[in-house]
Amino acid sequence: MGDYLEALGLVFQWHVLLVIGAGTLLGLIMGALPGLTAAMAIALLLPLTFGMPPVMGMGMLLGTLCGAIAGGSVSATLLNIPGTPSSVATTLDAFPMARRGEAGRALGICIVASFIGGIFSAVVLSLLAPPIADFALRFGPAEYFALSVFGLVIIASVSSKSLIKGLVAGLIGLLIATVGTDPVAGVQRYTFNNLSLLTGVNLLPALIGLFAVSQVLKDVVDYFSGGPVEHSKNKMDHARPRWMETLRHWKVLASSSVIGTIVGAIPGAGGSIGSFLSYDQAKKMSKTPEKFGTGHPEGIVASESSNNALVGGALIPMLTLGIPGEAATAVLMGGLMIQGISPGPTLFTDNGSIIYGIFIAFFVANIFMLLIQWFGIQLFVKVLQVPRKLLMALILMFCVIGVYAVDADIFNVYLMLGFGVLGYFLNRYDFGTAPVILGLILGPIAESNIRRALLLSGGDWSVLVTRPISLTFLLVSAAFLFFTLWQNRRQTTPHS
Amino acid sequence: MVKTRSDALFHLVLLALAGWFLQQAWHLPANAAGGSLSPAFFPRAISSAIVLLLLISMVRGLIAGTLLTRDATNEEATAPAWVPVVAWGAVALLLVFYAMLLEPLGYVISTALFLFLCVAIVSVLSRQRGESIAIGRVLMLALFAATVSVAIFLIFSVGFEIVLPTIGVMGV
Amino acid sequence: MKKLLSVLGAATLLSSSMTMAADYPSKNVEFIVPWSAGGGADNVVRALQPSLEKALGTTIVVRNISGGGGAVGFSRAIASKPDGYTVTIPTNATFTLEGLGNVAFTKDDFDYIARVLVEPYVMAVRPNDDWSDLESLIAERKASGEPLRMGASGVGSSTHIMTLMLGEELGIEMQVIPFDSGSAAVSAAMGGHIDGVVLNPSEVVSAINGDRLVSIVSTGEERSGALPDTPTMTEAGYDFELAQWRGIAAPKGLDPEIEAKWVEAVKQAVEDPQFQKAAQSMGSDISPLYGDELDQFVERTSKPLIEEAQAIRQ
Repeated sequence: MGDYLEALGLVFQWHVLLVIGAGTLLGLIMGALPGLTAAMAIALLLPLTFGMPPVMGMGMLLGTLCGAIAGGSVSATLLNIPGTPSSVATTLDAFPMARRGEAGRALGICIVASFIGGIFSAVVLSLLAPPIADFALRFGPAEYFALSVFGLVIIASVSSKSLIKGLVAGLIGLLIATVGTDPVAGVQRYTFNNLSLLTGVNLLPALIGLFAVSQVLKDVVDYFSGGPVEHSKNKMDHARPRWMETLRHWKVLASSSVIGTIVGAIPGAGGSIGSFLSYDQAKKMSKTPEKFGTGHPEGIVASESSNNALVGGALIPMLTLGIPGEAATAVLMGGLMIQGISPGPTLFTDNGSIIYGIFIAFFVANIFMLLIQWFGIQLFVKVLQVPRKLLMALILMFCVIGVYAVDADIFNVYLMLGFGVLGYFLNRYDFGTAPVILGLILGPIAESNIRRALLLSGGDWSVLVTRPISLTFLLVSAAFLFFTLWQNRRQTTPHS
Repeated sequence: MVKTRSDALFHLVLLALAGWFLQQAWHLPANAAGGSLSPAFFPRAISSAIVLLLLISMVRGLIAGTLLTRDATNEEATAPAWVPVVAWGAVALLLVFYAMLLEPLGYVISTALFLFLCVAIVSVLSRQRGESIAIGRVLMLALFAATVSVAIFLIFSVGFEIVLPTIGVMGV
Repeated sequence: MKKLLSVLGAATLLSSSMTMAADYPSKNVEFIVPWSAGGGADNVVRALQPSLEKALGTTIVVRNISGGGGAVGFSRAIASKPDGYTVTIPTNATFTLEGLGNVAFTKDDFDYIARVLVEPYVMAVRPNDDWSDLESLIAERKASGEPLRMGASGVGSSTHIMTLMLGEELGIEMQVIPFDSGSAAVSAAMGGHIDGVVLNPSEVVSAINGDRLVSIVSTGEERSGALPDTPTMTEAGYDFELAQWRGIAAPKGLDPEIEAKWVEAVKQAVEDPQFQKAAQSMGSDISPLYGDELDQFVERTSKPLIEEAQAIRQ
């Protein structure tokens, strides 16, 4: 208790609050730009934190992380550019809604859902971090493989138009994921002596190509065919946070926040699948599953609350075990270590006030995220008033610079273009692009872990069913698959 | 956009790609250490599955009659049918040139050129018959392209400390 | 015309290189980190950045060029001009990449300016009734004949190679399970899915301090500052010493005057208390080395790593 009071004193000083706010703002801006990741934003601010007290420095970096995730959703909603893999699920419904002329509503739901997801994960982080971290450790190769199978089942659920075509798209993602040095034996696959392909196809160019570039290519065609893309100034709806509308979907909010936090806490599970899992879950619980993918508020609520709950979840293994789950938390952990603080179990006993200060700073960062977006939302939607010709050119420019910035590698730009063309045709012929991303994210997890599991068991496949977590995931996957098939059938029969 | 049996064509393109991946996968080592799966297992399994599903999809399309239908012409279309195709190709090609020139010309020049040409192409193609090109609007567009590329360059290189390609003249 | 241009070009190049050393540094220095932000090497560079900037009197721009497990960044570094405005961070990965044979560069394509930090490899295992130290571990494994299942931070990484080298030296069979990162391997070891890991102290120190893993032996010349109770291989009676290191290198052909300026700057930077604190909490030991001594160190360290990596390749 004394530690908590001391921690409150560490955070609630005007200059600490100011720095957290500034970090959030910078994160928001960088997160909204395609290609600039949360990890890059945090790395940029890292040297500034050296001279600061730990809680102040970490507060700023946490603000940057929250801001970057939220910023990614803004561009996902308005322009179909998912800034991070975890905002891909947001594009599925928020972008169609914005296209209908309801950009303000879509963003308004995003803001509230993100805030609630973020705060939920902050509560879990401060109360339940150690037991959740222990649970996360029970994930070995067999469990990770089963989890990725569970994720792959979602492909069936996000391919609404044609199940077979959706599966083909998912398999294309899985196949592309095999490019690079094979994770267990070190054999080169499909690399053709290209250094840039040694570690596989970079996810970001794929993401931006499949979503943003393919969308602009479609817009170019629609521009001449009077397609449904005209954003007129008078049609724009009122841009403000939609509290009541979001809170009405409290069941989705609750389940998605829980899923987001837990999946976020499993290191290396590709935190990004959390928002897909929540989206899938919301669709299964929904009375109107057929509306998902057409600009349905429940879809936005599910993806966004889970998206921001992932952040708090990802901090759990980083702070309690010293294990960062992905790039952004790895930089954050670097920041902590440079401050002279080693994360891990001892952090709680040796540096109580600092760890509680970090928890409180994370709450504060979420509040700043809400406030900045609350005031910023009017500004965000102005983007859509840019004349379409200019907007298309500007989006492409940002995509190129963002993807180039990832590794300063022009190869990634070509890769993005290739994915853009592929994505255009996949969408045109109803294959869809979301399954490709799922395949790309889950492919490496599935393959490397099943091979590790078999390496450890000496080739005995029974490890997948003798371990309880693994067995549960596989059974639930099978059940979900049948449920989705049944749901699709029920949906399509009345129409045909 | 084009009156072709394009769904079937796209199926065939994907089929060819998957076939190529499958053929390449045959050169990968198929021996697995320690009873685990070999490096060739996943590429082979996945590309075979793609080929199989594409074939099923084509057969089903044939039966349902959707595979070979011609694309409906858009009644609302305001321009001749070739225009969107040309615009699509031009923008895609422009992106390739942008990528090719980004490093040799530096960020600022290549970006300004890209923005100018991209907007110009769409404008020219969407021009109504008989409408002339106003020199003032061309200059405005050039100014816009130059300002944006310089501003973005400054924000990224100074603000975000991201190193962008330059040609080393006057810092750009 | 062409001839005239090339003569002019050569002349300006010459004059600029003559003035270059004297007024170095006159622009920003690009520090290529061949891994993404948040990795061990990236943390080191960012911790060094403020004090190096002060000592050199210029701005250092950290540029993360990841890809190919360091291959892309290192290749980019050696392709740039050796004018002192592009430097990179050499580690054992520089050597293992060469040994694995996927890259076009060799260790001789760099001019090594300094070694800044060393950190040994640490063999850490999950707590077990049968083993508590190196001796009991070896005895138990030899008796049971089972391989020790050890996690490494990636296939072909220096930890992978080190695990195999340790197995040969200790006379026990090591089954290397490559993970996607060091932290993924630690997490698997903590969860009891594998027997242990061979990694650098920064990655295992949290787990060891939290009693989730037990450190058995380390490979450094001296005991690691982060794990003072862990004996070295030499202390355990083996003639084996090989540590991970992080330094600063430029592409081959660096002007000795510029190199001297860098050496001065590094000497100042390592004295900075902020950096010392950071190094300590990252589990690294500050152990600067320059000039001929450094070149000998590179020679000594690279040889076994390159050989072992070449062996994996076959």
